[in-house]
Amino acid sequence: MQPLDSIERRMAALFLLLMTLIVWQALRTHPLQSPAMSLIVEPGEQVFPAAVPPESAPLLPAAPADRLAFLKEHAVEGFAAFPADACEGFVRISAHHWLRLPVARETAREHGAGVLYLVGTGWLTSGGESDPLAKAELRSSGPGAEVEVFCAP
Amino acid sequence: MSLKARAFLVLGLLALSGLVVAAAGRVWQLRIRVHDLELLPAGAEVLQADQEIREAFGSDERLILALTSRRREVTDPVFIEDVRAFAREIGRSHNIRMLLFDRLTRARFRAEPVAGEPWLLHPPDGAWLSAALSRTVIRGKLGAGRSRRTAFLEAPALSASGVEDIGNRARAALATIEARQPGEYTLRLIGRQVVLNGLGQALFEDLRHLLPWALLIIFLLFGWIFRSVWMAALALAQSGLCVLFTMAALQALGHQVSITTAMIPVLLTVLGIADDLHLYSEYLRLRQEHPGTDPFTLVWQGVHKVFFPCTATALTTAIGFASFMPTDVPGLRVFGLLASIGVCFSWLLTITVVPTFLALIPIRKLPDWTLTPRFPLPPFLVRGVVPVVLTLLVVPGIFRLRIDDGWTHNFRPAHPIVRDVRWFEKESIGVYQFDVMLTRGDARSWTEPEILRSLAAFQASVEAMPEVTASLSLSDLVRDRAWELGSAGAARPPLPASRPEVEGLLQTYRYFNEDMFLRMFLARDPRSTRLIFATAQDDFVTSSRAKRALDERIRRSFPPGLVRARVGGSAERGRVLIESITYSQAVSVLAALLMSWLTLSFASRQGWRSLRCILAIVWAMALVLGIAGWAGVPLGVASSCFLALGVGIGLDYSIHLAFGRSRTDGEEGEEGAIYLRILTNVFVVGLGLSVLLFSENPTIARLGLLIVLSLAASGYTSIAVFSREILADRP
Repeated sequence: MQPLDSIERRMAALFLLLMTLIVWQALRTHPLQSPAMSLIVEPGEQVFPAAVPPESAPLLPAAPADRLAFLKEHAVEGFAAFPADACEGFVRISAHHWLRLPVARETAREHGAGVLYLVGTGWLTSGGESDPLAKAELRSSGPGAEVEVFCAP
Repeated sequence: MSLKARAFLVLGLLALSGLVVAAAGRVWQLRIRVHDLELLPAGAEVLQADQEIREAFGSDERLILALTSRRREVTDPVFIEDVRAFAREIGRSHNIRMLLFDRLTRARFRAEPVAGEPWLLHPPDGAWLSAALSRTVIRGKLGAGRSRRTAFLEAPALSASGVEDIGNRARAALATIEARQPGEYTLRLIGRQVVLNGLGQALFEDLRHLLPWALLIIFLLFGWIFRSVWMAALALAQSGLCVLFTMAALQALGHQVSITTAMIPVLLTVLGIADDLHLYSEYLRLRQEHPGTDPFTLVWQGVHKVFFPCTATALTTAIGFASFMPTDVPGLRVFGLLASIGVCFSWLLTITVVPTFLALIPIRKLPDWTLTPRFPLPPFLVRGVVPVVLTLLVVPGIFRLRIDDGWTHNFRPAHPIVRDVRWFEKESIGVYQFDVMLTRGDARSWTEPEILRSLAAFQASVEAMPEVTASLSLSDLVRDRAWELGSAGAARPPLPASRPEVEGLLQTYRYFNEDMFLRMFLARDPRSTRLIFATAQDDFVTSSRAKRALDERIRRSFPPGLVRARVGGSAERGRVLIESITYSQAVSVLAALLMSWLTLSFASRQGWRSLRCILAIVWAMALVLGIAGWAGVPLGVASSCFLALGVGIGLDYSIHLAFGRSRTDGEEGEEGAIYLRILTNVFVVGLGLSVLLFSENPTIARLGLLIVLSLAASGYTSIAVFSREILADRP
């Protein structure tokens, strides 16, 4: 092969320079990363299936301690402040989830702890917080939504 | 050939074989992935807005599962039961179940006990659903279609593979309810990710069909022009190796095939052979002139002769592509990088592998045209009135150019994905949405009635825009719930007058296990809320018009500084993407032209001659843009690539004419022969790239048309700019 002219040498040098730049850029060009999934659920916050709970209702444990633990696990927290001396009330909202609300000790004393029934005419949404108990009455027999009340001794 | 040369040849062949095997292994691992983020500038405001929205309201990229009944309305008990069964079947996957939304048949509150059950929420019956569809927004717009024969479920669409998995599960679930009601239901999967997945599939299909055709065309043309099957096979092998090594480099760098890099194999297949054409012609011309000389001597003489123009064209083409690298758009950067790498591979192969094999090819009879490599050039075509009139007639078409594109434009109108997207636009709210995050600068919450009313008024003004099909905001959630807790016969209630009442209603979303619905519209910090609205179409014109109108309504609705609005969403991303791609392309092309001129001037020390090369290509691009303007061909993401490609390929012609002749004193000029090669080049490369016209993707087909036009135009303008030299070289 004949030796290259100066013009060709310059061109070859430019080409080599470009190849170097391309290799440099290639090493700096990283693959695109998709944005990570963001969940707005905070640690410890309860999440339930929004659409399809299991076909059959869960079987609740019989022992009160186990039952309380189970209900806590399957309950959403109410917004009302929970007084220290209040009993824990679990309103059965659906077959698969409960709402944890404070129940005054006097109310619990009146009906006795255990399973009560909520008989009401509406859902109170005024007065600062949503309250299924406010417009309803707790009775010791149904029909109505179950409310399980646990009072600490 | 000496023993030493033979040994080198064998070693070279072994090394090449090893490289081919290694490259094939890498290419085998390549996957196609289409993502709109790769076409957006990394610093785009819309990406920041999307990020903020995600952090405040969570990821809510969704796949719509639309179940349409042939005969029943969604209020029919059989349909309701089938929707539930369908959801249960899909929900067998824990991950899907936790994020699956059924806005239609979910339980609702009624102020009476559930018959025989100890809980509070009732399953909705047909009569109540019928009332809810007309009086609530969430059920009415998102739960069911306008025809009332379609129920929508929403599943998370967080990744391409996830969407495929959900699609498979949905089809399996359809089969189970089909077993109960044969022929009753149609299932459609709708969502942005479905479109992107479909586009990836279409790109793969395109590659599978177009690449073999491009290779076949090259083989046939080379065989015909050079009257040698071996030379044609060598050109094919060069193209194949170039594509193989380039795609292997893509995989080695950790990238996947994307919407921008998918067309590179076809481009390189055709671009790779352009230099071969010059080398082959030169070699045959030398064989004609020196019949008794050793082929290896002649081929290296030929390489020497075409070294400068071929290196210059490879250099300017690589610069053209490399000019995409400084842009902020990841997809364009990878495209520019990969195409530049491909051009470098092609050049290396042309000056090493191709000459070696070319010298080994037995040539019994030289083609006749190598005896007199000239072709008559009618002077009137390239000088005087014709080019001037042509330019004056065509170039004003530039002022008629318009930018238009959209994801669905990448499919034929009859494609099932386009049909489903259009159907969804009519039946529901549409796939492409604007996402407006409104954050108050003061400490007040969007749950305050007066502020909530201002949001409702803003939403009403947005919904009044002709481009908008539907919108959703916090006020819809409040009013929907107020109606749901009351009597089914009542009208849709107005917004509550007190904040406790608003907040009480919103709290029920958590109580009813629907907190996710609320969190999509009200952040934990209640100073931030969100308005989502869909537009009638996903194209650039509609999105741009909607964005302008939105900005104006934001200004009118909220006092300056009081509310900070961030606009994100798929429709806004699409709009920004198209705008930034076309802008980046224009800037890159200008940079490439400048760099090419500087490079040519530096290497050749002939600034004016180099400038003539640049002027020829600028003239050619102006002609093509003018034609596109007159023909009504819109520019978009893919089609605007023709500018870079046209400059990269078209500049070669003027470089060959400017610098391809012998620079040895005493040798005659060879512009006539080069001119013939350029015509051949335009013909071969143009025909090779014309396979893009048969792409299933209409925008790629348009790109193919524009590239072929660019080649023809740059061939013409190069010849016209250097016509004096060509005509002076007449025998």
